[in-house]
Amino acid sequence: MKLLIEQSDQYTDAEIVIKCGMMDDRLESIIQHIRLHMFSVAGVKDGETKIFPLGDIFYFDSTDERTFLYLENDVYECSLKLYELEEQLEKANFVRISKSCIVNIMKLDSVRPLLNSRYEAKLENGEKLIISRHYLPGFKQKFGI
Amino acid sequence: MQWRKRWSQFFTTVCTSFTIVVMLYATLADWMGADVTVRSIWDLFAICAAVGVVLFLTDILPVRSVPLRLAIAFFDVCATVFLVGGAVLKFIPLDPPIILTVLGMICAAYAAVFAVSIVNERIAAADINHKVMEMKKRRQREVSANGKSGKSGYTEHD
Repeated sequence: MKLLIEQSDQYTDAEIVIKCGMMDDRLESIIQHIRLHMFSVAGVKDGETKIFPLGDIFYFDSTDERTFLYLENDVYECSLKLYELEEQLEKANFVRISKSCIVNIMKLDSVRPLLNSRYEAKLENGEKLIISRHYLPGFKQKFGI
Repeated sequence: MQWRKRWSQFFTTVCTSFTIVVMLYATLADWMGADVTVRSIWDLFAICAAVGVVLFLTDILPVRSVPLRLAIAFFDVCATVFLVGGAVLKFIPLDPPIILTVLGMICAAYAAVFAVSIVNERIAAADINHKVMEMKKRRQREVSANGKSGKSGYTEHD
């Protein structure tokens, strides 16, 4: 695989072009990483809006029809609905794990099975989330299981 | 994917329960000096398959409580065994000592299926944890590789 980087003042926006014959696992992983860093989501807290790259977001959670994005130690409100995020993040490293939660699998620390076909996911910041039995097959599929 | 997973669960339930029930039945038959007939094996398979179908269908119920879910599943198994094995196939005589023996067999098969499902989930969780570790290592390698490479105007890597 060849990596070509051109840096010049003539370019205003960065552009990534991937030329390939066959898509393999390595390439798919690279593309997922690019997606993770390319897209960003706006979050509001105390009237202040900030833009967060997907790579910084641990998970999205929806409560009382409001969506929140969770960072390592902070929470911001997000204007997008959970189903909209699910559609947009389908090909990134995010997966729906319950009716109200979408998690960034790059922020996972470990998982452990619970009774009743549910899993408990521990994140890098020590937070624990429940993967419900309904979303467990999709979660496993994300890991090729 | 949901259906593939549920089909796999159905298949595991039927195979595990059939194996346990046939082993228990053979042990009891040997102990009581009775014969294990081809018909009895097919009857046992029909009962296990019926139990699998009933569990497959009741699994759709949106019950969140774990004890209630386990209780419903156990009731499903008992009802199906006595209905199919007793009333339909006439394989299980509905006498108190036989009913107690069958209940014992149901408990053993139920515990075995439950244990197999726990082991399967633990294996799946271990696989996921292994992949999470691999992802982290790969990311660390990429971060350290990016740190080493210079930010020149034109870079080419093979």
